[in-house]
Amino acid sequence: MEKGNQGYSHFDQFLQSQESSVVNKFQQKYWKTKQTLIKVTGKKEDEHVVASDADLDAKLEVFHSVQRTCMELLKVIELYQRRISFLSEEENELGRFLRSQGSQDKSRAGKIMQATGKALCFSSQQRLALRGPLGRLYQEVETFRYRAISDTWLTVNRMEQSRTEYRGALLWMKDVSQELDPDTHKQMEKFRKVQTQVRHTKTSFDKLKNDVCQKVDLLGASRCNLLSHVLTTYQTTLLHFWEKTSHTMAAIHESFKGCQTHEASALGGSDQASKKKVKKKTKAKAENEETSQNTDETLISIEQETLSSNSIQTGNDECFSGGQERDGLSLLDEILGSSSLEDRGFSQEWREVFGEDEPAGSCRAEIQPSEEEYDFFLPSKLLDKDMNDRQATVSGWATAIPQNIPESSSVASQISSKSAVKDTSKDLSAWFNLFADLDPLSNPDAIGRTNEEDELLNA
Amino acid sequence: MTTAPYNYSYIFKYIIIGDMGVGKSCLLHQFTEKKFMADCPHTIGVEFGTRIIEVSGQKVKLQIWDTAGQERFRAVTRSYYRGAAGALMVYDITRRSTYNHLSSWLTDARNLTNPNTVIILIGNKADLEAQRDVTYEEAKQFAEENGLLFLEASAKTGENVEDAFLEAAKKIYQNIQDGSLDLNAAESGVQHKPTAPQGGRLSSDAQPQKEGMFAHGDWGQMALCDGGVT
Repeated sequence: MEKGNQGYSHFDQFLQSQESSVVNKFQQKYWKTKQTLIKVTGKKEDEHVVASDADLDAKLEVFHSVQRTCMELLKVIELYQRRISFLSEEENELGRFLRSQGSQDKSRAGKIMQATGKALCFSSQQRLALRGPLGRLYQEVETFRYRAISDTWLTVNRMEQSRTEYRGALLWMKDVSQELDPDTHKQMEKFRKVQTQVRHTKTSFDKLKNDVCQKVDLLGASRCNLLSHVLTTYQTTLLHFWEKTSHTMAAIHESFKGCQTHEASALGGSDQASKKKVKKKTKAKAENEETSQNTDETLISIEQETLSSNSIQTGNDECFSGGQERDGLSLLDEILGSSSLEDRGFSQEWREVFGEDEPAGSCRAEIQPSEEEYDFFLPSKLLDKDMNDRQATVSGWATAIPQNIPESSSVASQISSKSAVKDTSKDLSAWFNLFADLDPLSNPDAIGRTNEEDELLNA
Repeated sequence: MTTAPYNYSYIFKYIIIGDMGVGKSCLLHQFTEKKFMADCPHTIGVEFGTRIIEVSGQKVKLQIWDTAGQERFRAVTRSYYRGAAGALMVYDITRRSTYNHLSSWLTDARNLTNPNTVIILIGNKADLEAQRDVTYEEAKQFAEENGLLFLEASAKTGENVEDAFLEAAKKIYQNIQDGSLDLNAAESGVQHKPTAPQGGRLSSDAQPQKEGMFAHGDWGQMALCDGGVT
């Protein structure tokens, strides 16, 4: 029997029994520490070793991005809630002011002022309703952070430990290989020892690597699921708010049509004005965060100066920078256009106002399509297939929602058409069923059904 | 006829290099054991095999280093090239990528071995004709351009496996004969031993190592287990 050729001989078994010997442990520790030092001091590691972990490092990038963006999202939500309060307060103040002033004015203008004042007060109250779903979102994201992200974080740490051990063993092997001669018994013994160590650490590292990759994929998918659940409420509330206030404003405008104003030319048709008033309310202030979260783009904070007291007189400010097409707005536009929750007329108007923008980037960006060498199936592959199907159906999304397409992504994913498309030719029916009800918007009646993300994470 | 275990005149060091999964370990196994190993685990670092063959009437022991093809082991396996008399560069005829990487393997081989090292290109898995991705002609041309011997072989059927090792050995022996390979040079990869049967010394004292030269065969286990004589 050619000992050199077989993996395990009684020689190797003898070695394995020696594994627990003190010297061995010491040596292993030494090389592990050496590798840790290299990692910590940031010295350049062997490029081949690093290159072989490229896909893992990509997944780690995704994970860190998820972590970071969740933090930022929380901050933004908080800020947004506060601003809503402030704005609502101011709006209310303005409304009261107008009413009081209007009641003193005996002319038609007074009536206008009163009506508008009432409308503003109404609007400010409605606006406060937005805080509810936002608060809910905040809590959900926070829980997500505490549970899902920290769990994945633990796994990532374990994997890093294992990776350090493994790379340390590789360093050791490299060292031993410098002077290696199979004809020398002692050297071979040393070599076999190292080889066993490398093999051992390699298996544990490979396993943890797979775990991390799967977990990160699931993390991304479940976050999208979470967001799509909670954001529907927010979206509904927001749209109702806009609808109500815009109708109110339109009604006022209608009733006071033909009134002499200082800038008569500014007033156009009723449609025009109501549209513009809608625009006013939806002006988006640029947020700085460069997150790939589409929710950040949908968060709109209303600039205060648009509600100046001149708004009634001019009726048509130039600060209607609703021309700032935001990805989020077109997202909502898509939602509006296809959601069965909203009345058609409004969404039609909406679409005219905001147009159909080609959005760039969304939360999909974080789930990269990747070549996986693993034998198991990664959820991100499911996503890629889904993207492919989505692109084909995005226009007919409103009318035909193919029930078979697994929707493990939020609504925004349909808009992001930039990801590469890969074919998955495996039989994915088991996974399809698992993810079948992850996206509530595919089946509006299913909104509110318990999501399975916790089950997945605990699996 | 059984000859004494140590009855060989030369030791040639071979290394087998190439991408992961092309069949290096299987080639070695086929050569030394005459069996095809279907479920071969990934080689960690390097594995060894030996066999005694006959070249021009001389008995030659081949000491074969089967290196790991996985990329992470690249730095480790680079240490093994030193002192190789012959290198078997293997690619898989059914996977084009393994053929495309040959230039990088060749660069390593040229840089890390001495100029006289005989390199032979092997296109493995020749039995999978239906899935062929690399033609014989283009590989032959590549080999000729780079001064390499070339053979297509199959570790599964055994086709050309013996020839691969033998051809390289012949070339090395030829180099010795016409003087282009200096036996006394360090890292020549060849050790010349007088043909005197040695006692079965199993002592395992580590001999002081000179670069590229091998200690006398004290590793009795290996010599005893050499798979016979061709």
